[in-house]
Amino acid sequence: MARISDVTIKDEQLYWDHRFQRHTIKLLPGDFDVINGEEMLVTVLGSCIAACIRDTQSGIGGMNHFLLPSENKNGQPKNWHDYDSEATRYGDLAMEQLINNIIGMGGKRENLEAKIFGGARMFKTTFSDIGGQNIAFVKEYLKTEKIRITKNDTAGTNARKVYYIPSTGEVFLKRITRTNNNTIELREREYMDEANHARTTADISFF
Amino acid sequence: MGKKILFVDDSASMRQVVGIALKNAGYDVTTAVDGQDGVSKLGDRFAAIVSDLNMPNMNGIEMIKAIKQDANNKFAPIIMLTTESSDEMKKQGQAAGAKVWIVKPFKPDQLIGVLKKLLG
Repeated sequence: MARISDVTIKDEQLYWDHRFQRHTIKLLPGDFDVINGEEMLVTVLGSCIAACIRDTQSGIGGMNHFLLPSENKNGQPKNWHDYDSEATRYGDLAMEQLINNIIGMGGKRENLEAKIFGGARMFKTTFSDIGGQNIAFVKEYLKTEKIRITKNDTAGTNARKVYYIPSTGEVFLKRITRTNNNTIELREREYMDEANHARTTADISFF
Repeated sequence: MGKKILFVDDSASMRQVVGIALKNAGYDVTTAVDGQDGVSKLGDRFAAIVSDLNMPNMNGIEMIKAIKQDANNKFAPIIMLTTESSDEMKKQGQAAGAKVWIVKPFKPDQLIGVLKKLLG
């Protein structure tokens, strides 16, 4: 089972943010969460993408944090553009879970707006533009779903910290120009290894 | 013309992916955007119905119940295609009349395999 489909937010991911005076949920790579209150979502992105989607009428909304698996078992790059590639299935799932949960909590598809962040060129150790592939995927997905993108801060070489308040739609973005360590890269690497080995085929039950 | 399949999903991306795969496999596909839209297409007689679970207006379970009341389509096997994997939901689906439960992510080939098994 892909980690992305059985995410549960742990207690240590919840904190009171003093600056914003709000309960806050910190999302890690592979997580998503949807809220219908005043709470805030926060995540740190390198090559990964966060889609922040909300119903502009009810304020129900959420965020995901994902990366397309970029390599097949032989270490060859995957082509997300192939309509039934493993990478696309994984990305579709990350987006669908977020949108389904918003609708499940009472959001309306026709009211949805999206803000997208991340997709930086982070991994100094590879030449392939992982971030760029992720950006192209999420834009194409939202276009197909006819969900408008009202804010797009993607690409570049800096990591980002994104604060999102679904109830108001506000975003606070911090560009991380210098880090003392490579935690972001390591965390994303670890997540990508997981994604590369995640289940992308179905469990089927016949009744 | 191939066997008629009704595919119901509120995600345009899913309708695109599954639509292409079923067409390539020789099926005659009709798509619907939610349960209500699915029910409105029941004037046709389908060989099988493939549906998402969580959809606005009318969800997959309610739609199955409506299909089972429809003289044209009550014999069509219903395949649920969903991210929902809990036994509780599967039981509800089975009780309503679903024949197969596929948990996403899935390969289009797997869905076609299931259809061939049911309709072959």
